[in-house]
Amino acid sequence: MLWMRRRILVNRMRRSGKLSNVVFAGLIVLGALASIASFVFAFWFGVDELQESSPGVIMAVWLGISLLFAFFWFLGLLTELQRSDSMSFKNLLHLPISLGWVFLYNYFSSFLSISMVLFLPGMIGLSMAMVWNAGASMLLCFLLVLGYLGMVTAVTYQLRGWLAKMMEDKRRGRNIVMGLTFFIVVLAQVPNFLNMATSDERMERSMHEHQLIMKTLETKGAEKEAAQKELDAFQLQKAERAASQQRLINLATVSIPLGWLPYGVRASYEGRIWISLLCAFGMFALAGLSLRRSYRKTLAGVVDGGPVRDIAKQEDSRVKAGPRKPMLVERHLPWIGEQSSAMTLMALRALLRAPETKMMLLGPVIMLGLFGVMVSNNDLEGRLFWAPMMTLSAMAMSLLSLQQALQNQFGLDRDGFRAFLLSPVPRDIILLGKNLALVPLGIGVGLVALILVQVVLPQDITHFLGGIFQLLSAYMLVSLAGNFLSILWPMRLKGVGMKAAGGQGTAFLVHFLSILLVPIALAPLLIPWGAELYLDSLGWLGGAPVYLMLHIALFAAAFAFYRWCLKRQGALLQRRELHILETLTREG
Amino acid sequence: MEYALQSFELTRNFGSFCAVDQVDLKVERGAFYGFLGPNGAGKSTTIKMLTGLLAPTSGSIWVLGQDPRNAEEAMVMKSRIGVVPEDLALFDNLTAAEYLTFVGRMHLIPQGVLQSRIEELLALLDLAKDGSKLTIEYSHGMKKKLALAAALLPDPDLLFLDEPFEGVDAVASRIIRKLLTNFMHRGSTIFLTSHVLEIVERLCTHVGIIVSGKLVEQAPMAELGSGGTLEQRFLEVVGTDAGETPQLSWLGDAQA
Repeated sequence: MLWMRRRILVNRMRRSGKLSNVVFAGLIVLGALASIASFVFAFWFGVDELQESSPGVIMAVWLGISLLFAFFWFLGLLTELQRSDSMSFKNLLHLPISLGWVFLYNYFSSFLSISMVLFLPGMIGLSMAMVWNAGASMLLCFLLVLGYLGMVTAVTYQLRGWLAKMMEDKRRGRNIVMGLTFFIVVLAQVPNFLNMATSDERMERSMHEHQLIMKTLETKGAEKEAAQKELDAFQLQKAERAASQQRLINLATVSIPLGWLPYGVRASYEGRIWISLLCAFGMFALAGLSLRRSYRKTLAGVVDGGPVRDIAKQEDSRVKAGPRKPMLVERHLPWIGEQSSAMTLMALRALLRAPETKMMLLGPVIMLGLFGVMVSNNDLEGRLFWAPMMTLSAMAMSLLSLQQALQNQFGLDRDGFRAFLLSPVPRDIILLGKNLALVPLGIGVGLVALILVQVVLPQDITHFLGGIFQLLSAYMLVSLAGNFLSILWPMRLKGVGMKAAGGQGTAFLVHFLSILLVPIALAPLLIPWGAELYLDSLGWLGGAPVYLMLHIALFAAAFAFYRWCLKRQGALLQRRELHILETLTREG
Repeated sequence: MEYALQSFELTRNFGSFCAVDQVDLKVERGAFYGFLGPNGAGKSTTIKMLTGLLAPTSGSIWVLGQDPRNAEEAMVMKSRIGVVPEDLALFDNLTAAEYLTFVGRMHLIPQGVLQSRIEELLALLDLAKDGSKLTIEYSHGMKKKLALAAALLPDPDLLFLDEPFEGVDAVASRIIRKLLTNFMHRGSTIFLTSHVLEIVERLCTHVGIIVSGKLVEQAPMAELGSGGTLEQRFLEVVGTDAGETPQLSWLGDAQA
């Protein structure tokens, strides 16, 4: 079996080519260096900085490390879910061998991750520093670290097995991957939101304390005494708040298994060896239970076969026959032809069902959320002048977060792109349909951004209406740029999600650079604002809705330009369609 | 003689490897042409080039009198052919009815006609009961059936089928065979690749055999093999001795 694993690795490296192997070797060297650096830094930090520290500080340091490790390990779970086991049970089931060790092999293979390479040496280094600082009793740190790693890896392995089983149903599998990604992205943004939401309050408190200190220093007599009393009361309140937070952290570390490592280290540091041993035992027990359950479930899953189909649900869907409602793809859109209508609605239908779209919408939601928190935390009354600029920025920000779909229009179609090739349809119609299908997302999100700016910085109605035309123009320009990129540098996506598959360095670079260029491409849309300001400075404005009128004119120009370009882009697509198909459907 | 499909010195190289080597195909109108060859012989590469899914390295193609290299003629050609490619052209996130509606509207089939054709096709190919399923949830056989339905929907003059029976159950296979026979009898042309020689022998009027990228045989079924079976002729052309008995040293002589 080990020989087979080695052969698979060797054959894969042979197929990858020299450059990939050099990069791979470079990464291994980098990983080894990072591992050594992590160990050295942790040891130095432990000996130098934690020698005189209180048990509370030591626990806080270990708590930080253990939570960081858990977070990164959980991130790795997402990658793991999309990768099969090192040794597939299904490929071995017919052989006369015990599968117990195969399970263990797969479990230990899951240890080979960046998180482990970075954190394990660091934890060992810090444990050695603890022994150096506080003597032999701290040898328990090693046991605690082992227990902690065993617990986290075993529980996530069990979770992974469970999710992988659920993912055998492809439709559900995509939703699981998307849901996990969504969860991780939101989780990673929580500190950002909390920081932005509480920064003013913290700043206020700090300013208030500073003022009180200054007052005690600058005043005399009874006034100084009153100021001192106020300062003491404030500092007492601050200390109580800190103590209450500390109690909460203690409670959390005792009651949540993820906190047993830091709590055990603290107990050991304070000489409470039995508590420390209890923490280690608890973590080992959880690890053992998780592994046992995981093994049983894996075997049961393999023997039982594929996913259980929801027969009741299927039968239910058969019963629901009757006069049917027209499907979305059957409807007709006004002003455009039959084929454009079909293309738009098919692409929209597919987009609305794709979990990738929900993920994509996460970008603008987070961006608009941050934007909202940012503007609500600032006094913007005096900044009304900049409102048109902010409108365009918010729009650009929203459109930018949809760039993955806009500039790789055919990426999500995957094999379906062949259907376009086989269609007897002028290719500009395909592009038009693709652009229109993204309108509900692009224009919808842009409109939310526009309304948000209007709520925060209420502008003249002509400016708001001008903003709508500005948004339409911006969408057309961004779509044209996206069409060009989709035709000239298409990118193959991984099985699930919007991530590009490997080996597409040039296309990836071009797409990345194009995102940087979007604001420049949209710069002409600031002309109406500049013109209005200029006319105002000359005193020629006289209440005329110059901003709105110029935006309508720009929209008309952008529309004409869009139509002119679309024909040419269609011809370009027809010339390049075989190349695009080859890129999108290339294997490996 | 009027040909539905012709190729002249059709060649396709992948790097230094020549997958299709100067193939001259001639498929008469109304013929049921079986295109055979061992694995990796170049069948799918040829069908991809004929349907516009892969550019030839050299040579020319005429499909229903149109040159696919000309953009306008390619559109005319695509409006008159139906294709079941090796790697199917399905969208993961659509149901069968939605996909067929899309294909039909792209071919400008009037709505009433389209709806009735879709209902007939789904019922006939036993896909109607899985109406709410997305194609990503389909088995390989179901996907093949859906692709076939999409190919038949616009009522094409020429049908390209790359292994249409692969993964399809016996009942559906029988229905498809009958459908294809009827399709041919009303004057349309079929170009089919299959590994199942019995099906080819039973259905096809003409056969072409490709080996290592070269077309080594092309003839009406009646003239092929001079009295022998298609399998015998195929093995002869491919270069395998049909009379030889395979042996494994530890299993002994199969004839003993």
